[in-house]
Amino acid sequence: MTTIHLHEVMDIAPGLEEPYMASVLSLEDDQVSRNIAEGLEERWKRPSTSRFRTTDVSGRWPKVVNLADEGSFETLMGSLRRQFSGAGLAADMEDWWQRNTSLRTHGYDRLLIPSSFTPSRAELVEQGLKGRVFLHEFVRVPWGETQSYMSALERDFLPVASRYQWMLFGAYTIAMDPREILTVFFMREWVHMANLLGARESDADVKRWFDFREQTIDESEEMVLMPGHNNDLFVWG
Amino acid sequence: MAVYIFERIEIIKGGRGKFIDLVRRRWAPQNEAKHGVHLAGLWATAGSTADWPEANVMWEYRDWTHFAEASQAQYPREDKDPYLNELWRQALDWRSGGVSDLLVPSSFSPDRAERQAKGIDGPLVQVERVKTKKGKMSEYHAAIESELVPLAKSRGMQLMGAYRHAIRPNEGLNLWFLSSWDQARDIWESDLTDPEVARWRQRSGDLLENIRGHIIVTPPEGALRT
Repeated sequence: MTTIHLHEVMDIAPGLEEPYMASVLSLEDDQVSRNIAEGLEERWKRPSTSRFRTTDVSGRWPKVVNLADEGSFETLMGSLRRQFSGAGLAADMEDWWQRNTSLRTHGYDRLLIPSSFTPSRAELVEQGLKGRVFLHEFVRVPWGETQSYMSALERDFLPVASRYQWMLFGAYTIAMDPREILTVFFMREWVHMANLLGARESDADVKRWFDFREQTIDESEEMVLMPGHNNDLFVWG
Repeated sequence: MAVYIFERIEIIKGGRGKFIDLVRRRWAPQNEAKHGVHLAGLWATAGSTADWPEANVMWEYRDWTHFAEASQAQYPREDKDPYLNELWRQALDWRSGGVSDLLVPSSFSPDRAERQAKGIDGPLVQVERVKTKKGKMSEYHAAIESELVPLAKSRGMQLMGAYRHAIRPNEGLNLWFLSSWDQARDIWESDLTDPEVARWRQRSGDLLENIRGHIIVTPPEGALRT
């Protein structure tokens, strides 16, 4: 069974990022109840979402990004059937949706397929990893080059990133979009992000990676994110 | 080497003047006093040339270490800097959102101190958003330094800076000071006929995928402006 993640970028009513993320958390309680009632396989019973919001450092803002823990196309179909096919409509979700129209105006969703080297969020939490800043980046590469970009990312950049204490949250291809890749790295402290970005001219390995990106990527769109206060990876203090 | 954030802010409900006034009188002094971040520029986008209503703010950090320190001390604002958080909340009446660019200057771009020392300034700025052909940013910057800066200087334009995006590959921003609207008129008129400009554009075609220009203007003090 293919593992997938639902990824959402929401246009948020300015200033209401945290209330919206708290509202998403409340929806998950409803989903847990429904999944248990429907007798879903144990591993899918407790959906949980990583919730992030934009800084104004780089990229478009304000946004909230939700990245759901792993599911499958089968669980997704269950959700879509409930929402759009009239069978067993989820009144609780409808109620939640209507209550939040004042918090968000629009969204753009993607179905992510994690690379083999993407850790699960549970693994990150078990290791006690947390981050103050997340660099979230969509890149669009030429036709047929998503896998070679992924391979280069794993082979060439992950060791460099690790040296600078960049941790991989995930690297994903996108269902129905064969040219797009999402990467999310996180750093415990801001200085870790700055040190790598600032090493472009002084570290040959960093320069080599940036040069590769310049030769490869057709388009990119980044967001510099913070985890929401109710995200397990949030650093308090 | 300095690091910059250039922000384009979408304005709502005729709030451009009030938003700019808030940044000028309250946000920028707090950002400098508490975090050491300098206001490098504050402008309104000139209608007739691009998006409107829009404000533009540029922040200068001494270097990457300073960028990290200031960001660490500021985010999340509601936890770290209640005063900036309150200003952010107040600004919600006048702006909806924005787009920020994290920028690294070329070696020949003057920082704020050098601009002040040499009197490099102007009330108008011509913005050029550039996307180079793959891997051509360094070559493009070299061409700006050796070919375009002398040409621009001969036409009365001063370089505020030529920057590459710190994250987005092959994207950058050029900022040029103009001294007046009369100068802008003369430059745009001569753009159409000057053979040196034509030669530079031909040269740019070897290096750039695209370039898009517009004007941003430092508005006078006072909040009662659209």
